[in-house]
Amino acid sequence: MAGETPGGTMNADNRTRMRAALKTAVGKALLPDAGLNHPGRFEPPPAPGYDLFERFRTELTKLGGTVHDAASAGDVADIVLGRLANVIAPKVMMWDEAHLPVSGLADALRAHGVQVLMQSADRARDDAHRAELASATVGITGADAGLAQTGSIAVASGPGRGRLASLLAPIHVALLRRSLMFESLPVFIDRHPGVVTAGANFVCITGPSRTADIEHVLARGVHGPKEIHVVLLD
Amino acid sequence: MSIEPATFDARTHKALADTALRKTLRDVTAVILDSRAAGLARLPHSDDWRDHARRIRAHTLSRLDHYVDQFVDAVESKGGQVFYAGTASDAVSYIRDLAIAKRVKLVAKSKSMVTEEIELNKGLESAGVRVVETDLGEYIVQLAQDRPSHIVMPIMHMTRHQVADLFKQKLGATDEEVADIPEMTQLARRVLRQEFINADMGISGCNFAVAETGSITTCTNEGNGRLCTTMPRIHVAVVGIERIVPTVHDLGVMLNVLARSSTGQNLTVYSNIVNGARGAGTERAEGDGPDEFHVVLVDNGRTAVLGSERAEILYCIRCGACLNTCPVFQQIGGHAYGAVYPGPIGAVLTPSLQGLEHFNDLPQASSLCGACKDVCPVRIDIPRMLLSLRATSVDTGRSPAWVGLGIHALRWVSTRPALFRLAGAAAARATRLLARDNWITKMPGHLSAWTKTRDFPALATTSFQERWQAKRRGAR
Repeated sequence: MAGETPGGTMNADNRTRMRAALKTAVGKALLPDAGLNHPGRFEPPPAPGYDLFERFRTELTKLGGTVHDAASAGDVADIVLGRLANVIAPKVMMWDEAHLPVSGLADALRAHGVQVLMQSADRARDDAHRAELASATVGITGADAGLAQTGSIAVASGPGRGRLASLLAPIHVALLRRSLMFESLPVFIDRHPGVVTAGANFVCITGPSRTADIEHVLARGVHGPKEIHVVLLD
Repeated sequence: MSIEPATFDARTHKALADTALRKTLRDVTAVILDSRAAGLARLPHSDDWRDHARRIRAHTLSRLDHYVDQFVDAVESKGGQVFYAGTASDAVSYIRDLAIAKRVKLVAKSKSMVTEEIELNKGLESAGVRVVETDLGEYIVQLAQDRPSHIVMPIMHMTRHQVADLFKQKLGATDEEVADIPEMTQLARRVLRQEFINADMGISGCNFAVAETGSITTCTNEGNGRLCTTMPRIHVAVVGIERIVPTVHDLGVMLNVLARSSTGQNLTVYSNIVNGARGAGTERAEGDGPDEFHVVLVDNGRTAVLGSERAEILYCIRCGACLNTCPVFQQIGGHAYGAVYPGPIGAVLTPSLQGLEHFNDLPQASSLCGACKDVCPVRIDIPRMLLSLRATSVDTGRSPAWVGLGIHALRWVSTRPALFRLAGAAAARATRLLARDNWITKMPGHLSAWTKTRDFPALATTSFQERWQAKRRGAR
């Protein structure tokens, strides 16, 4: 059982047992409001028109995040450098530029003495590589969607689109094309269901990492970034 | 896990005597219920979203055999491995054997109620595998060798001073490192970051598993759920078999109501959807994520509940709102329930999963006020099922015989109007004899237990029926 290689199929006996148990139970279950057919999608009446960008900014700001506007790689570099002002030997970790809405960002940062770290799939299990990535102050990623109603960004992983860039560093800078602003997570999923399974991971990030475990008092930056900056670009 | 003190009655008395606990419960549940109301108010048509979420849960369970099968196929088609665990010990054995076979020394765990239920940590530790809880609250519970007291806020029962003392004692923290809550949080980040880098296996729970895509979802605020499912070379997701939703669209609906009901947030900070391993060695290989993805489907009594009149309890999406709103939970907190799942949901789920013989008291610990049903995002009729458990309790001789006899006697009297009037008049007279200034503060014999903690008003001199008849006569 545990010796099986990953990707093996479920043991036949085990599967038979599971199917039999569930089939019997389903036949006897008392389930109020259960329809025979799948209930379909929920489509609420259209909401009164509002400015999605305004709402996004309001919601993310309430959570302690920041929204910026930028037109070029130089603008983005300035925003990042602003976060690195007091850091000695600054390092950033970033996605491959092919997956960002601007080009030339890495060079613009290097020109200011910033060391730019990129993840390598071949070194995914290399502890030295991971320790180096963990030393970056800023992680820079793209984003697949902005969600106005919740102040969230949605991000699918993939080659050159590592998850650690939005997770390890104390500051996360996400670059979002303005054309990718949606009303909410359900609306985005309904229009682009394929994005959810495009990579090994899909995450919807709503503000900086937080906890209220101790005495229900808010503290930011527990395991994920303490700061999140969303940069809007055309 | 042995629970002290041993009886529900004794645990309740202990909780009621703890004034600090009761103040915390009062303050925190009030704040969180306000947050919940505000969170739902920000969502247009929130009642319709909840109704739809309920329809999804109900339909899914009515065809759970089909959807679980579909889920297993979808996980396997992406190279994941699925194991169906009929019992808690099946689940623990599978994960323990896997850890041993893969030479796992350290496991990083994200918060998961189902792993509490199967007592996974004990099983792994007995095989020499170190397990670190990484949710801040659960980490503190683990350091204190305590148990979580709420399904969403595990250390609701602790003060910041208790946490500070614990960090000093167990982590050798300095006064500066425990000066305030943000400092303590940063200390935990530093300590746990190293554990994440060293961990060989990450174990997560699962809020929702998607049948059509084989995805599992964890909802966390801290980011530990993402780290557990990203950094270690092996990811094991422990999934209650009822956690399934059919499609990614359904997942969107559930996420839209979960956090709002739970903490009042629009969404948890990280709604993290895992579709499998990183694809090492393929052209789609990603730079991080696990090399292996395992799903352990935990039954452990769930199919038995599904095949019963209490199947509706499996609609639950574990938001914790019913705990926060329950007047009983607000007084006694989570530990008094003596079970992994406390509060109204636990009062149904725990005896249903683990047997009424061990948890006969829990369905009684309710005034049946219905607040839990009102706040439930999927509108589970918890009072109906509490009553069903109470009936089972009487039918199987687990409640004292006089409960059943008393109800029978009441029915016999109530269905005979003349007798009912007579009994009512006698009872009213008796209460007036016992009362001083219209209040009974002390009753004789066995009845004294009732008045030990409450006063009882004397019944009125004229009954409702008499007044109603007098009123009708007057009206004519």
